[in-house]
Parts: sequence; structure tokens; C-alpha cells
Amino acid sequence: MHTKKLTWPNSAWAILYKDLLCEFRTRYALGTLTMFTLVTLSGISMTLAGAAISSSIAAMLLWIILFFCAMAGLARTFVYEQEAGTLFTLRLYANGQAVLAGKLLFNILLLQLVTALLIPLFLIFLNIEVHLWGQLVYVLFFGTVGVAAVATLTAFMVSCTNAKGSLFTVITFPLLLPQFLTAIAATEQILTDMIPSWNECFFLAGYDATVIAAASLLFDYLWYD
Amino acid sequence: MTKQHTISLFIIFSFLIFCAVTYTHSLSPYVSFAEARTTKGTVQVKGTLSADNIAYLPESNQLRFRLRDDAGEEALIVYTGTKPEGLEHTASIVAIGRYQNNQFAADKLLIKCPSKYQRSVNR
Amino acid sequence: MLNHRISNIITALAAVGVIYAVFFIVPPVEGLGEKVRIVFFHIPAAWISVMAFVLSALWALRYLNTHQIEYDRKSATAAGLGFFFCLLATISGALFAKITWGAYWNWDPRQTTIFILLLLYGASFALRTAIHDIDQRAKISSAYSLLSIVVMPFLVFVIPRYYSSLHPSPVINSAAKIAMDPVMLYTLIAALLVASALFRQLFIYYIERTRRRDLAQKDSPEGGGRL
Repeated sequence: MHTKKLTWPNSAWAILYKDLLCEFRTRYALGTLTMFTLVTLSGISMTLAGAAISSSIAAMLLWIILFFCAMAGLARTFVYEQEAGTLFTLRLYANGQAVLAGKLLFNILLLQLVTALLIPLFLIFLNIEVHLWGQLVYVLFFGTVGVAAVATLTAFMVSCTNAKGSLFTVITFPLLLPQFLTAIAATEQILTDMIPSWNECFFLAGYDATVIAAASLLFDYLWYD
Repeated sequence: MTKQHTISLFIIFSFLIFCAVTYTHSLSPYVSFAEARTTKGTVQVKGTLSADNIAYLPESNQLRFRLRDDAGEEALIVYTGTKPEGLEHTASIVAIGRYQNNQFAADKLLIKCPSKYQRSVNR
Repeated sequence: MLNHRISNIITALAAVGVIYAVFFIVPPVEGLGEKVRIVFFHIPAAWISVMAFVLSALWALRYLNTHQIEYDRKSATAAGLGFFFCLLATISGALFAKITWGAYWNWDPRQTTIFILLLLYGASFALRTAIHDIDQRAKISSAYSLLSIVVMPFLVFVIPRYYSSLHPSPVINSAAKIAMDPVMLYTLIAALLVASALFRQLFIYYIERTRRRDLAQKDSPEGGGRL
């Protein structure tokens, strides 16, 4: 039994480690998300039947798949703690910021993994060639971090309500729109072999920082009664 | 105000100021004809009618007129479709399309509101 | 209560005055003619919906700092009225767009922004109705309101980059020159003031009503358990 109190980076790591362990044992989230991407992607690819699509539509499809994938996977961030009855214990022992950081890191990792799975399949199925790999990875990384940051906070809000899954998408989408529009525009430019402008790239990173800052400000109010 | 509050608020406001500064410079989505000539994709050009020379060819349903962009350059706009109402009286016109063969093929014409709300003279 | 009734009467009289001015004093406009009169309903409605959004967030912040349910009530009422005015602004804007640009909806930046404002309002109502515990509901919807006010300015910056605008340049533009006929300008300012006063009167009325309803629920023994 631990008697000493953990500092918050340590407890954030502990929460991340716990979530990773749970995920590794059940493979619930990753399995669902992989299947989700496969189903949507093959659905799109089958209906297209080899027809070429413009880069603007490809960029839009990519981000819509990523968004709904995130919505399907991250809704349970706090709901499963609640169902298992561990949310209360977590509230007693852990610092709010640590919980936010741990959960956020886990969600970011999960989304990065899913993106890493999705991208090769997406490029193969839709027959797209990419030359600007560095820029694409940059945009995807910072885009998904923003999704994870907003979703972690809204997932906690949703865990306190009666309508869990359906509400999550509704309340998350408007908050992600600035990021979403910028990411789609940048991806579209990358797919047409143009380097996105620096302020678009900076916006993606800056929006992540802003949303994480806002989440950390608000989370304490929600976490402690 | 804890240290964490200060840092978070600082991040939010500094990014807000950054956006306000960079995005107001490039707020306009419009390009000039010179830029349109070098771009392959669809662009938007805003300008004013240079003279009352709107030619409408009913048989091909085509509209041809000259537009002067904000840089002062003129180009021929070709638009296929019905003539938008009040084209002659507008302050400015936005043509969306691409530049090819020394003319601007517009897929869409948009009419801007008069930028001045002034009483009408002929009443 | 008497004060409220007097200010109700004053607001109503002022509203009648402004409506008269809009229909009979304002001259028809070059190019737009009589249709310009929609502007005097559209701009105030849009202004109120944005103001209500900001007010709602300010009260949400006060709720989170004080935990007094009174502030949450204010925040929710402001949001409710804001949603109503936002709907009015969207509809009058769509009508005006049909008349001047030829289509009800063409994703102009400001149309997009007001649409997202509607989405944010709608999302916060969906969130509110899904929580039954009063304190929990107040806490979570306050947090959501604050999160959306952080996001809103970025939307205002980002959207004009991806959608083209047909709106006239602001009436009070960067050159600080007012490009509007004086009669119209005064009518518009009066319309804005009357709309703000109307918002205030409605706000006071609804706050009073919800406060009475909450008290009645607390007092009656069987009503208390239901919620």
C-alpha cells in the first residue's frame, strides 16, 4: 500500500499507465476504432469503385473519418470509469490536473495509433500519392492532438449526463470547428503538393495549446465538488 | 489566481492576439488577376465593372464583361448562365473561376451589397 | 414590480417609435430600394445574439467562482434569449440574402459564424437538458459556456479565410468614416438601443419566472422530490 502522496506528474503517469494496461488487456478501444476506420474507409472506397476524387474531397473525407473515429473511441474516456465504479476513487485520490493530463495523453496516443493505421489504408484505397510526408505528419499530429484535447474535457462533461454517446458528438463538434477547417485546408494543400502557409501550421499548434490551457483551467471546477 | 491560471490565461490571450494580428492582414480571400493567371486552381477575384459593356449572348446563354480588379488591372470575364439581377448597379462583383486563354472563366458570379447605405437619388 | 411595468411601457413605446421610423422615415436606398428595411431588424437581432452569448459566459464564470445558483439561472436565461434572437437574425439574414444575393444560403462568413453560434447554443441546451441534478447541471453548462466563448473568437478569425464574403464592409470602417446616410444611422442606433432594452425586459421577466418556479418546487414537499 502506498502511503506517500504522488506528485502530479507521477500520478498523471500512473493514470496513463493504468489506462494503457487496461487497454492492453481488453483491447476494447483500439479494436473498435480499427474496425470503425476499416468499415468507413471500405464503404467509401467501394462506392467510389476506383473513381478518382479531388484532393479537396479526399482531405475532407480523411478528417471526417478521423473525427467520427475519435468520437466513437473517446466517448468512453470517463464513462467506463463510472461504470466500473472507479471514478469516485479517482476523485478521492488524484489531483484534477493529473487526471486530465493522464487521460489526455492516453487519448492522444490512441488517436495517433489510429491515424497511423488509417493513413496507409486511406492512401492505398483511394489511390492518392503524397510527396510532402513531413508536412502531412505535422498536420495530422497537431490536428489529432486538438481533437483529443477538446474530447477529453467534453467526455468528462458527458459522463455526468444521462445521454452519453449521442451528446458527445453534438457538444464536441462546434468546439473543434476552427481546428477542423484549418486542418482540412492544410491537408488539401498537401495533397495537391503545395506547402501550407506557416500561419496555418502555427494555428494548428497554437489552437492545441489554447484548448489544452482552457481545459486545464476548467477541469478543476468540474473535478472538485 | 494561481500560477497555473496565469500561465493558461497567458497562452490563450497570446494566441488570440497572434490570430488577430496575422489573420486580419490576410482576411480577404480575393486575389488579383495577376495572381489568378499564375494559379491553376479556382480563385476568387473581386472588382468593379470597368464600363457599361455587359454583353449577353442569349443563344449560348453567355455573359461577357470586363472587370477591373483592386490592383487596377482589367480582364474579360466569361460566365455561362443567367444574368444575375442588378449586375449593372452593384458596388463590386466577385467572380469565382479560373484564368485560362487570356480570359477569366467564371463558374459563379456574386454580387456584393452596396457598401454605402445612401438614399437613392432618383426618388 | 412597478418599476418593471414602467420600463416595459417605455420599451414598448420606443419600439413602436423605431418601427414607425423604419417604415416611414428611412428613405429607400440606392440599389436596394425598400428592401433595406430588413437591415433594421437583422443587425439588432445579430447584435443581441452575440451580446447574450458574452453575458451568458460572464455569468457562467461568476457561477463557477461563487457557486450561487442565481448566476446559473442568469446564464441560462441569457443563453435562451440569445438563441431566440440568433434564430431571428439567421432567418432575417436568409431573407435579406435571398433578396440581395439571390440565394437564401450561401455560406458567407457571417452566415457561417451565426450558424455555428446556433450550433453552440443548441449544444449547450442539449447538454443542460441531459443533466438532472441542479448543481451538476449548473457546473457543467457553465464550463461548456466558457469553453465555447474561448473558441468563438478563433472561428471569427478562421472562417473568413475559407469562405468569401458578400457583406458590406463594416458601417464604421477602418478609416473611421461612417458610410451611412445620417437618418439611417440614427434609426439603426435607436433600433439597437430598443433591442437591448427589449432583451433586458424579457430577461428580467424570465429570471423572475424561473426564480418563482424554483422556489415553488423547493417549498412544496412532493415537488421537491420530483426534480
